[in-house]
Amino acid sequence: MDKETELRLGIKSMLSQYDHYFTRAPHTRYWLVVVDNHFENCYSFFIYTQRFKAKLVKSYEIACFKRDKSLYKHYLSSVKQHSNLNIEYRDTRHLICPDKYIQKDPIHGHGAIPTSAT
Amino acid sequence: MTTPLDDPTRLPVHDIMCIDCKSFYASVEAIRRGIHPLAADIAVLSKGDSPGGLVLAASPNCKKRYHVGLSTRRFQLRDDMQVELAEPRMADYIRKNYGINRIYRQFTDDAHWYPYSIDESFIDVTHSHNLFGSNEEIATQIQKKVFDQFGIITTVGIGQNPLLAKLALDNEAKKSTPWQATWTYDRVPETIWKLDDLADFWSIGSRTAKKLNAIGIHNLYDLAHADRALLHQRFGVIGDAMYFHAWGIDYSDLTRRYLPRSENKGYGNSQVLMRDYTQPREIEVVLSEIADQVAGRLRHHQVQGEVISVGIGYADAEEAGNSGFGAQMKIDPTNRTDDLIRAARFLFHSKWNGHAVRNVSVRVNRISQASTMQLSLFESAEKEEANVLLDQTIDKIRQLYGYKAIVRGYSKENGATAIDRAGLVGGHHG
Repeated sequence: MDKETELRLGIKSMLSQYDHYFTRAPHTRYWLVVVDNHFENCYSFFIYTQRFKAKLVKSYEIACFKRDKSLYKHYLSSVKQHSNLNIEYRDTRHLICPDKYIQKDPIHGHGAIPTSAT
Repeated sequence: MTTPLDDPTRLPVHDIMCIDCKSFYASVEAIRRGIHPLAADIAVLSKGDSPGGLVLAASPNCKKRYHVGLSTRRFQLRDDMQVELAEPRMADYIRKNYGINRIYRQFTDDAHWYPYSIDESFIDVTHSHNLFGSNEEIATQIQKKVFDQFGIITTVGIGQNPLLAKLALDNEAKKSTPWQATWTYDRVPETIWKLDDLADFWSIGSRTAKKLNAIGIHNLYDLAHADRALLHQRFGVIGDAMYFHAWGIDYSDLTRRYLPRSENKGYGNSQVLMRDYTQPREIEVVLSEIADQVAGRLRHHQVQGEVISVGIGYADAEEAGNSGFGAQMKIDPTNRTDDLIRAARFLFHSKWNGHAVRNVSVRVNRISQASTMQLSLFESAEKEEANVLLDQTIDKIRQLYGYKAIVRGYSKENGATAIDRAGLVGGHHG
């Protein structure tokens, strides 16, 4: 399989996974998380869901591909075209510690915290 | 009074490490999401869409705050719990386990390396000190390498034998930083004997603990000072082993592996059901599917078995008075699906008392090479041969196109699980 076809199929699979989990259920919040994972040398895209007033969160991986900037741009632009959900960016070189640093909103609005600080 | 520790020359003295990946599955998922494993609130939930879905692992925070851990069910998770639910990816955990074990193997030779489970391994570093330093230095290097490469926190129990290393891990190293602990014979009174609950001790389960209580042994100190002859009389060689374990003595050697004798080898599969099964037909269906799975494995390895056993675990163990039953019978050597199904169903009906069922297992023992076939007096040779060919053809189709390409009719009935489970790794999402 050539690279272009692989990319096309990868994006198609990601969007179909997105549609599968983004059911627009009432009273439910959805958002996306993109992780630059240097441990596994990959990028991962997750969709998160949370019911209104609930603290319980569910997350599903919708795409995972090689850590390649050009691939990443394609995947990201495709998901942005397809979705208006908020996107949170994370990087495994700066693992986040929601509990320690974010008191009010463990999910949104925080920056990356250096691992050594833990 | 003489004690087993009086003569140090008779004690096994090695430098053994028991290394565990802290909340392994949950840590892998936390890293995957860019969260520090110790700060994450992640629970890995298998079959999360079903109320019977099972938590396979949870981050330390979830365990501490909500007592969510291994075997918590989906319906026990409340909306007000600050927990992130993640699907398991078993194939990835297995891959990571290989990678992490590669790091352990840098510190000793393969003969002194023993993988104990998917997240726990023993290594003997007695002869590695010239190259890598003291026990603590080796443990620290391993912890750093694993964290740098995988982001996983490892905890290390160090002891003079595998038992001490394991106990140091379970009872001290896992509890706080630096995630290391060393237990030695000198420290037995202040470590092993201080364990309150007998059942907390490796190799003693709740049933054995009850039996020990009945003869006046309530803690490890009592066990160490019990009459060894009495223990031997009650428990046989296990009694002797428990006595020495209570003194921290374990003669097992990592280089001498336990290899099951061929006559003890068997093939079996089991399932924890997603709900209570109360209808006999539903239980029959699951038993048949598992028997089919076992038969397929026997044929794949070109062997056949002549003892079949089924295990049934009740959902309401306390109400039922016992936790379930096991039954076995001898059959003509076979690897045919139909033969195993027939025997499994017979065994089930011979002992089932109507209680709701939650665990089911089928096992075939006394294995031999499938080079001969026992003809039946009640079936023509042609028909038997045709059935053998049918099984082989089904195996080939499944091998080429997957399990779901061809299934038996009962797999479409209520209670069947085989179609849903096809493609899972160890019964969980791959």
